[in-house]
Amino acid sequence: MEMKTILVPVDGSEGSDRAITEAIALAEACEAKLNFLYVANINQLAINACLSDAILEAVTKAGQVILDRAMEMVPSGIEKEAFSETGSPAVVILDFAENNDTDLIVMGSRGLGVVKGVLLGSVSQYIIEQSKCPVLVVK
Amino acid sequence: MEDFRILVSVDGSECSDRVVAMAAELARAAEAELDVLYVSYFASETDATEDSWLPDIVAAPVSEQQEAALARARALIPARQPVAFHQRTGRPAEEILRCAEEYGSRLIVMGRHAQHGLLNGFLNGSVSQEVLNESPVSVLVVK
Repeated sequence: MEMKTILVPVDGSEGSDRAITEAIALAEACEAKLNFLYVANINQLAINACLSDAILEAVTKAGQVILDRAMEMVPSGIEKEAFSETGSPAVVILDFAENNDTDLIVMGSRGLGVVKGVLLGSVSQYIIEQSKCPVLVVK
Repeated sequence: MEDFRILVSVDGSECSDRVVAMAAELARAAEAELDVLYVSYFASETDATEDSWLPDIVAAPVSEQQEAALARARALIPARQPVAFHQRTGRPAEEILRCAEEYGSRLIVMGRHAQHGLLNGFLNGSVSQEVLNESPVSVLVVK
């Protein structure tokens, strides 16, 4: 089993930072490429209907900051790319993984805004259940 | 990486082959040691000597199942890879977590689908789910 492309969904949370660190170590060891993906959790209809350009711009900018930080953490010599999408995170992440020859998804066990007592975030949960490629949940 | 141990949970299924292949690749890349674990619900002392009406997954001799599963895993691991094989009896999720702690594993690699297939469904819920929720170390789930 060869590991060429590792997908790391990022959301700026602590868990996602740990996932980035772990993914970098793996990419380094396996000489794999890192794809960072930020998904702005906005419904496309809402964008068309009522979101002002200002709000949209703010959301996009927040994502860009998170992606830039992830990219800066990667030592030189490791191939990397940043992607930004809008939609429902779990669905967008799975689509992206499938369309971009992903060998492994590395993510945190919980993202932002987790309800107390829920151990595994709902996005992680959905991805583990539906993903066609292996998923590494970083603790 | 120093003393990096990866715990691999196998059940002799086809999914286990992908689990082992993935773990072996990671171990090679990270220069880690592998611990391959097979957990059965019952100890081999409970193996019946007479035929049973129960399906094989319930009634087949434990010792044969575990030996077959571990041999199948061994065949997929390169000879130069440091590896140890272990067998435990009990609830799979609990045993996997206990072994990970005992061995100081930094990573657990396991299949997503129920270990022990059908049997798992009604005895145990999802093993990977429980391990994911309870494990203090990272878990890699392979389909």
